[in-house]
Amino acid sequence: MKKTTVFVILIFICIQISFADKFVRERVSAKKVEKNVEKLEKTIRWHRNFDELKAEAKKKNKMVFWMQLVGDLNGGL
Amino acid sequence: MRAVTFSDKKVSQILRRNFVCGWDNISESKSYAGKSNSHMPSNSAVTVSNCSGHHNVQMFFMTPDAHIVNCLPGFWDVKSFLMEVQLASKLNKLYKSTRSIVKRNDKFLDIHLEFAFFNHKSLSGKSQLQKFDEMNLNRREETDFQRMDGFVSSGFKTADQVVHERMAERPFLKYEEFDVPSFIDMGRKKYSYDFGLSSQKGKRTEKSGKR
Repeated sequence: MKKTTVFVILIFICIQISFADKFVRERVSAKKVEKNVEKLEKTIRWHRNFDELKAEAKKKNKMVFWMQLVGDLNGGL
Repeated sequence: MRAVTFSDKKVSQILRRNFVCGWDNISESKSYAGKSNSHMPSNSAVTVSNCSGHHNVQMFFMTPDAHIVNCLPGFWDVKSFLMEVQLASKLNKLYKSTRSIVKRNDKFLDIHLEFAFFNHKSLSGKSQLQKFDEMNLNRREETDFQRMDGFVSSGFKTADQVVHERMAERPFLKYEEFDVPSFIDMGRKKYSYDFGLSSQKGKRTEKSGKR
């Protein structure tokens, strides 16, 4: 009994490891996407002007994160 | 990105605390901007492998005076994205260091190549090329995606490796000087999908099966 349990646990760990870093396609519901986009706008202040962004980054001595998108972050992408 | 990665608590916290963030819609302004179906926040979404949608999204990590230390094309999952942010912070520290420009640039190259080599195991499973991109690259006479063992071709590298190999050649470039079109060239520019969309949006457009 003990051996079987150990064996099952080992198999389980092996499966976990083999799937650990593989890409798994996940579906995100429309409701969740909407909620996440809303949250994203509230939690992070997003600049739309690159020069203003640069000026603020320099002033605050913070790194810049700039994203180029085909579409709008809060709209159609 | 907005549906999954950016909504992760750790990711949004890091972006808020350590970065000044911004975005721009490039669909009309840049010739390299991709074309695909419009996806609204009211549509469901599916995750894709790292670098998918390379012509539709480009994320730049820069020093406070806008020198690029890392660039991620397309979608990136939470774990991979956090690893890349960490790398960007390390490179920002290097930029601020008192080393000579030559030594700094050498170190920049080393760090990116080391990252491509040592982090490959944990990123590669999530950074496989999409089939249509692989087919597109396969048709080319030459591509840096081709892995060569001596003179023998041994398959394709994963997208994360190529991103860092390409970054290694571009030490601390200014945003205005960064050659985005060649950096994000990882296969097809135009494709359509039906991620969460019903009806005609995901219809096959050609008999050959191109979507």
